[in-house]
Amino acid sequence: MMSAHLVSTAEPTLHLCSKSKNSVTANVISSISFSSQVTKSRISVKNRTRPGRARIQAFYAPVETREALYQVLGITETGSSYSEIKKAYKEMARKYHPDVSPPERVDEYTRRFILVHEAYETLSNPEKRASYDRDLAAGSGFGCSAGRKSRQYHQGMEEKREWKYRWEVQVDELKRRRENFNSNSRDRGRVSWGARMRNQTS
Amino acid sequence: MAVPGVFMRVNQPTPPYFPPPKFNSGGRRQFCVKACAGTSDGEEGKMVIRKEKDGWKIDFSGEKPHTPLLDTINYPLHMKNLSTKDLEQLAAELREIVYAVAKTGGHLSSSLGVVELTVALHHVFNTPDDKIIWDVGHQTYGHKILTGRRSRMHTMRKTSGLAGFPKRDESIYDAFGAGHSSTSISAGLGMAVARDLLGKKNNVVSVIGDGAMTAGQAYEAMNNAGFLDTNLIVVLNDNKQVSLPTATLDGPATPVGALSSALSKLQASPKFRQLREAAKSITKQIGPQAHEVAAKVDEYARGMISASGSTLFEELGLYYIGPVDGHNIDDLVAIFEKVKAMPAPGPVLIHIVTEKGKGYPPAEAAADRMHGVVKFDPPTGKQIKTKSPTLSYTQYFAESLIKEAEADSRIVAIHAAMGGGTGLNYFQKRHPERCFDVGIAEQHAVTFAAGLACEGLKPFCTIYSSFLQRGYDQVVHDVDLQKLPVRFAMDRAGLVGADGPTHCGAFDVAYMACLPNMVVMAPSDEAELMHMVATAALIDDRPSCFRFPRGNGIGAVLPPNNKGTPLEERILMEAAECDSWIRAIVQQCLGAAEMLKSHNISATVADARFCKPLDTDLVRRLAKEHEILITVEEGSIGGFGSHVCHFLTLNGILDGQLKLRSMVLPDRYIDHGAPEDQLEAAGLSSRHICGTVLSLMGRPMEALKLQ
Repeated sequence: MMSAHLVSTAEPTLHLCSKSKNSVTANVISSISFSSQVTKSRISVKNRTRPGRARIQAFYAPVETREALYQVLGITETGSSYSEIKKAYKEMARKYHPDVSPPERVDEYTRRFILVHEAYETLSNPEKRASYDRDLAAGSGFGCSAGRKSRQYHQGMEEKREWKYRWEVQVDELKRRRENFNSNSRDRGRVSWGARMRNQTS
Repeated sequence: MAVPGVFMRVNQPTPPYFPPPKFNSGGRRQFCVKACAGTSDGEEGKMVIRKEKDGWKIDFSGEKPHTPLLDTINYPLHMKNLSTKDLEQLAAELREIVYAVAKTGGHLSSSLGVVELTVALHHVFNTPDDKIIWDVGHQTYGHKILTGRRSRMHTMRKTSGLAGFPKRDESIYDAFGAGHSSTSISAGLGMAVARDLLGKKNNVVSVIGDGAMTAGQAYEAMNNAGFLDTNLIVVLNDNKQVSLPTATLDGPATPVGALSSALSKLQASPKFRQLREAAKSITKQIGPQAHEVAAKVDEYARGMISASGSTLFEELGLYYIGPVDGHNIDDLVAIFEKVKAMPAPGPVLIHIVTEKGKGYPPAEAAADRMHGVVKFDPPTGKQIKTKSPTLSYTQYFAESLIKEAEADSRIVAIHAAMGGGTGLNYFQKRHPERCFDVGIAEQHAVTFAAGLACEGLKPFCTIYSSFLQRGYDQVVHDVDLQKLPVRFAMDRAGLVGADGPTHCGAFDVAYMACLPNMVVMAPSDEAELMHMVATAALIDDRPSCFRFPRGNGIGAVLPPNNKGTPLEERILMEAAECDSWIRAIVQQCLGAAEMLKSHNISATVADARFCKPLDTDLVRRLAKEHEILITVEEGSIGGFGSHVCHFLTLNGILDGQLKLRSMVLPDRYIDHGAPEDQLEAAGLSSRHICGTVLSLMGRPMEALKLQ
């Protein structure tokens, strides 16, 4: 049973993703970790892109919502071509359109329909899709609806911050490795040409 | 759009500002003078370089902006004491490259993309002792400005001016000459090994791009570097283009090959931090002796979730750092400082991500990012293309190949990352499944074409004459030895003008005509070119090639519907006395014949379309009927002239009265410049041909007086 939630972060931006209770997110990383990172703060916001529709609740969700938009459309993350996405969208749209939904579940189906539409808009645009895929990998749980310049800028900054963190670690690692390297060189068997030259001159 | 009277002082407090002197370890006092943007508020809006929230913004709509900081930099030594903020301002000012290229034409966006990298490298490293090797070299305009050649930027790519690529003769800061790609790591490794053998301590940095990484030589070099384990820094400048030029007719080219997707995966950041947090918390719980454990977890974590492409470099033996924002000077300087400070880092690959054309909005927006441009208008980026009544030879070639391919479905075209340069972008548009771009891999392109030919297809391998040099063994061994019908279309044969000797196609006749099974042709005008494409399409039992120059057609009448017909030799002008054989510079010979008429010498001008097989009947006939025989070609010694000479000697024709002279390119490299100047320097203009004839006829004074 699918339920729809809005995900938001520190910046006041809106995102959509879906969460399945039976999701098999075989995500080793998140399973070992640190449930302390999952915080839930509920914020009620109005859907900015469609004024007048029902208010939707928002909270910060951890990365299990990985398959978000792809799951909405019922397609796989990699290798879905444009025509497959379109086909899936049409199916879902037909299913959840408010006009054809049973009266007692109009609200739910409407929310679903909005989600489906957002998913299609994002995934059918190769640029947005690429950016969305990157964000999934970044583990920030973003789901992208129509991009706004400032949000893209912040996403870009977030990505750059990740990069910076990563290369700082790599540089430290290099330093550490090479400091141990010379002392352990015998353990590694062959002494490289470069190491021999350095030993000669130093 | 222009905002008069608004500018910002980039340095606080008010000038002049002398910071307290710095002392280095040698005890020498140093001070730096900071330049300020303007002296008073009264100046009208000249200052158009501003720092905004997300970077520096340069206003290109007006005159060339003042560059107060750049004016103080003549050599990299002057950059040593700049702060990060100053370096950022310097980078913004360095984008005056736009104005320089707007006046001269040349390569624009590559240099714009590496401005920050150039500034960071020169700030951290001590060139010329430290060596910076730029791959290909068309991104070195910023480097040239910072290394003492700023005043000569207006002569870029002109006769006797700056070369468009690094050149060792030009400056000591150009560590290695470049022009063909993928050589920087090899050269850098050589310099690093030499440094070690000589006991020196300088640094060696090789800068290479993602496009150049598609060539095998880069991997050969990295493999060797990993094995030798010498200290070497490789900077991989990834601007996600991986093809050259960066556009098809319709828009940006999608990256070529599997390598680009690996690189883009590298840029996607994994959930690295989260795992590291987990590791940290584990370490805290285990206690102080957990250092080893933590280190292991770190290594494990890196291996497990590091982006899947970095293992490629790690396997080759280079330590991978990245991706890094290539436009953030702070980051770049920090990394370079740290790696430089390490005593023995071994070979390190720093992967930086840049945007081609960054800082100049028209370039960022253009489909091909304004990679190579003629003169243009800085505010708009619109190029000022001179109208020519004829198209270029490249376009005529593309048109005729398209027509041939329509008639024959077995025709396919191959190029090595030069869709725009070879005109095959047009072919790609019409026959998309029959056009193959293999990346910068000429060797592979030739053997790939050989494989296609084995199975009965008709491959047209379209590679510039000088780039085909890279695939020469494949031409000999894979194509010619097995007599496979591969057609080579060698564009940019002969002298090429502004690109200079690195792109000059001087040797192709020599190296193709000496092969036993090759058919070698050269057209004299665009109609001939079309006929030769048709001829080559028909030659199905042996390899063939045809070479055509850079430039526009002369206005010959084209065959109907752009479809050529196969060829034989022909005589252009009949006459009594002497004779000239022409190849691609037929126009010079026709001009010479006209001049000779005024000296009462009648000349026959023959268009030798085939160098191989030589039309021996025609040669015999011409030798019998004339007193003097001159062969002229825009190629080196060992080409057409040599073949004619060889034939004549073997058949005893030179034992008689005939006087034979061969006019070829001189035994030296002709520098870049305007095509007419190059031809003059080479001694192959009409005047020179006419002078040769006059001297032979015993009238040397008249020869000397020719204008």
